[in-house]
Amino acid sequence: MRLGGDRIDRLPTHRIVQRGVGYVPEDREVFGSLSVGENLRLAERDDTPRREFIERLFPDIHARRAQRAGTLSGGQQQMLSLARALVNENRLLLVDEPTKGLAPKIVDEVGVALAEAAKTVPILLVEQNLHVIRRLAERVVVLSGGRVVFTGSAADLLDDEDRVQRYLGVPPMSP
Amino acid sequence: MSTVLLLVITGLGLGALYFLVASGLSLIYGLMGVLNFAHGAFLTIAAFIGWEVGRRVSDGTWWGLLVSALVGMIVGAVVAAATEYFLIRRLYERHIEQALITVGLALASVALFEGIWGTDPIYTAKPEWLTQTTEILGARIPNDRFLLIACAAVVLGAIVLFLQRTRYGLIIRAGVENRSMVTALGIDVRRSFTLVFAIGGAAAGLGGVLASVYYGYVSAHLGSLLLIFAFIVTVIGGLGSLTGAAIASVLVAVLQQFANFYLGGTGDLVVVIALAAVLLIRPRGLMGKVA
Repeated sequence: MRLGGDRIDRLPTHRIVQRGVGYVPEDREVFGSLSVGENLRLAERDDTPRREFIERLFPDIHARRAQRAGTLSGGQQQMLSLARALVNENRLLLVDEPTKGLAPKIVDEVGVALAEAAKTVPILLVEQNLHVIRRLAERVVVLSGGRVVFTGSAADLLDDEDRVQRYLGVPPMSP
Repeated sequence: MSTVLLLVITGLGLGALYFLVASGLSLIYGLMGVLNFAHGAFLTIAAFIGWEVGRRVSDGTWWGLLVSALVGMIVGAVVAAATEYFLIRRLYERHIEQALITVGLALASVALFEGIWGTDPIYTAKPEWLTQTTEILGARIPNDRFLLIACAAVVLGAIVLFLQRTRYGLIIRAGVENRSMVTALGIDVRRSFTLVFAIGGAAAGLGGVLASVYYGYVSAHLGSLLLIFAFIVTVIGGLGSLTGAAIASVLVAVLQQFANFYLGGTGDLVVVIALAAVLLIRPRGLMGKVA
């Protein structure tokens, strides 16, 4: 496995991350006993964290700096988890099911933040929500039962009602 | 009334000793999942070397005691950090082996200390004020209790400040909660393992010197004597919680004193019953995280 041409598969986790990989885990995994500000400070990997960028992108999170992260709502925790990854310059962002268990309105907000992030860094996104995929994805890989069943552009997948029905087992959505 | 006050303050003093041992145990377990049975050995060697240096500098004076305490803290920190670096680290994530090696170290060190300093307790001199008592509301309180309480309070305050105000403290607090996520943020969490051992060792080292003041002697068994109660305190307080360890230290020691006085010397038994009750009713302890 290579990142930017260098082999990384034998490195310990923290070294791989230091090479510029941001990770947003499936269940957010914010540090509930730490404050929002502490969660962000912990994530800063170098002397040039993008604090203003985070303030602009997540005003609600910024306003809650002193609050304990464990008392945030699910959506706010997701935003914090994203902010924690975006506070550094990354070469790759790994985002695992960012909309899981969130209310539709919050899903939209997460989508906006991810779209903003995608302007500056490539994102590998694991997602089941087709609206979010349509909004963000360029290329998609569909996995079914552990096997790859489709590789191609997002538009090719989502515009083909038959495929969506077949691979994802859901009726195609209205555009 | 004066008896109650004497029992409470003596309990607080003994609780201070328990806390100095339990604080390190709790932090180490919380961050690394290691039950460190060698913690008593850190205390004992610090007590011996602290006493050896202190008595040569100035035996039985405040100056000598201060030197003992500083030497004890340094010895405790260095021995603990070396234990982590050379032994525990090799067995990363292998908790059974880690526990076994600390048990082995604890047993071997007692034999080593007996070989060097003998099997009998060695009685130590202390500053005159510490041998006297102060009368409070009719109770004659031995002065060494105040020293123990003050030292434990300072250590508690210092560790809390360190955890709250420094980046390493932040990493340790986050690591106690979710170690793998700390790693996923690009932080080498193992570096803070050595640090936590050093802090715990320093606290235990100070505890060793103060234990020799409290009991009036140093002995190869000083560490194992206190370690049992420190483990009980750590479990009752909640593994990984410093505040829990502080509260439980006081509760256990005061309970012990009262049971010893009013229930015919059953203090140790009552403490074990309290441990069983906590494990049955609230297994994660008073302030522990959900396992």
